[in-house]
Formats: sequence, C-alpha cells, structure tokens
Amino acid sequence: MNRREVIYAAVFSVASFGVAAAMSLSLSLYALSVFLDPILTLTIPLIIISVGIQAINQKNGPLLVGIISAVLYAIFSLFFLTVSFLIAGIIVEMVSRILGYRGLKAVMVNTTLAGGLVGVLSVVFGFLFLGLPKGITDLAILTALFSLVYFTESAVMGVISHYLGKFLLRSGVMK
Amino acid sequence: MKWKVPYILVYSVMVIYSSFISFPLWSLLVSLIPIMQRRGIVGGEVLAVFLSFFMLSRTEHLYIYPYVVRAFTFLNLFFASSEHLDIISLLDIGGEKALPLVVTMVYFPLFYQIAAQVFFYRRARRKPFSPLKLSRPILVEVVKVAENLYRAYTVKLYGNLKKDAKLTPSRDDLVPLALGVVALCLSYLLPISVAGLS
Repeated sequence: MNRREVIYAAVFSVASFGVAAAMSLSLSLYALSVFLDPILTLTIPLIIISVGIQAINQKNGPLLVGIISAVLYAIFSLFFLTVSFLIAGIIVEMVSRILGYRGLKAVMVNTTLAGGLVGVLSVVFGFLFLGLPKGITDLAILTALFSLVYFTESAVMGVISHYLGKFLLRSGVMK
Repeated sequence: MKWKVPYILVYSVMVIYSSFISFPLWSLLVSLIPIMQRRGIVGGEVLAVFLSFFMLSRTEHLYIYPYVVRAFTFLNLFFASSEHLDIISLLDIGGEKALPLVVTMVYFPLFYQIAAQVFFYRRARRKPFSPLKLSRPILVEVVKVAENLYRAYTVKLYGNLKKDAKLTPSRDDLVPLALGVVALCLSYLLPISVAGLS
C-alpha cells in the first residue's frame, strides 16, 4: 500500500459520494435516494469507482476503495452501506488478484461484482437494520428480483466504464 | 456547532438503539432537535409522518408504521451528521492514515459542484440521460484532481504527523452525548406502546 494508491482511492471514493449526492438534486435528498432509489446511485457513481480501480492498477486498490468508502459512509451515519462496501471491497479484491484491473473482461467482472454486491447487500442490510416487518415474509423473492436488476445494470455499467477507461488512457489523461 | 467524529458515532448508536426499545417516537423527536435550523426538512418530515399514519391506517397496514418512523429517524441522523460533522477530528482517531481522506474531503464541494453543473446543463438542453457522455467531464476532472493531489502530497504535505489524541469533549460535543442519553432514558422510562402498533 503506497501513498499513490491511498490518495487515488480517497479521491475516487469522495468523488463517487459527491456525485451521488449531486445526482439526487441536493445533499439533503441524498439519504432519501439511498433508501428509495439505489438504481440511480448505481450509474455514474459506480462508473467513477470502476474507473478508479482501473486508474490505481495495483494490488490492494479495490480493497482500499472499499475501506475508504466504508469510513466515509460510517461518519455520515449510514451504517448499512458501510458493511456492504466492506464486503464488496474484499470480494472484488480477491477476484481482481486473479483477473487483473484493465481490459474488458476484468473491468466487466469487477464492476458487476462491485455494483451488484453493494446494491443487493445494501437492500438486505437496510431491511435488517430497520427490523423486519412481520407482514413481509417473501424477502427472499424480493432480494432475488432486486439482485437480478442490480447485476444486469452493473454489467452494462462495466462495459461503459471499460470504454471510458480506454478513452482516458488513449487521450493521455490517465496513466 | 461542530461535533467530533467519535461523539457523532456515539450519538447515532444511542439513538438507533433507543429506536428499537419501544415505538420510536421519542427517538424521532430527539433526532429532530439538531436539525432545527433546516425548517423545510423538519416541516416536510413531520407532514410525511402524519400523512403516512393516515394512509397506513386507511389501508389497514398499520403494522408497518414503526418501521416508517424508524426510517425517518435514520434519515435525521444522516442530516445531523452532514450538518455538524467536524472532519478534521478524524485525525485524532486515525492519525496520519486518515490524512488523505481529510485532505480529499476539501474537494467534496468541487466534485459536488461539477456534477450539479453537468446535470443542470443536461436538463437545460433536454439531452437524454446517458452515463457514457455525462460521466466523461466528471471523470477527467476527478483524475486531474487525483494527480495534482498526489503531487502536492509528495512535495508539500510529506512529514510525520504527531498524533496527540484530543478526544476530551469540548462544550459543543456535550450536546450529542446529552441528546443520546435523553433518547435512551425517555424510551426506557416512558415507553410508548400503542395498541395495534408494533
């Protein structure tokens, strides 16, 4: 873990958080959109995190992005997102040790895993955190439905972020 | 009024715990106190709580109501911490390891502003929502900020940060502690149990 990795991970995590806040029109509505509309927060914030992993291009990069995002969400009192970011960071780190960080296949798998896991886990932990209502018994069906949507959407975002990473590399912005 | 990070965490945990003891009305009221300056949010929230009570009682789903109130309590915790957070106190816990995060949080308004401008122009020109096109300017800016910050950090900010933890609460930090204790005490001593709820 060198200094470059830590700073890049911090910048991309904060940027993702800020863009997610700006997307829901104002900072005060951001927490509402976390609860109500995770589909919107899985678009551009997810692309920023994915390009961040490509930009770091080293070991422990995904883990650091996960940890720093988790700390960021913890100090803003969104504890269920903290847990899901930690778990997603560890899993993406393990997968990316095998597959690498750049190239269509690696980016797609990393982004799909990151976005899908964060989406599904935030729904599950959000429900657990609120306490399960007695009326809702078919949580498994609901989770399966949500996970289908999240993983499909994250796969599309993976393709897009591969093209964006290639664009940034060719134009010389990213090294 | 700025609160240090550990006290915000203690306050959130206390309010969350108190919302599970009984019907979470006390914790909702206590969590509304730190965001009193934001009149619009408070007014809208009170209106939403009343409206959801009437709607749920009309449709006979009143057993969901405690979860609705608890969700609003958690929202209030987010608002309170984004209003009163003293990010520099993160250095007291993490030492030099927390420095990159603290330095990067300075750029948070910049990222927020760039993204808000991009989305504003999209709406003004009535372009469709395309993540590929919209994220390009944001990404270029973010990569530039990361490079510049790395350079600046290497050249200027390098050095050993002496870690002397200033964790003793200041006068402002007593407010979240007191509020958390009040929430716990009220929900232990005067538990609200409404027939038909919970």
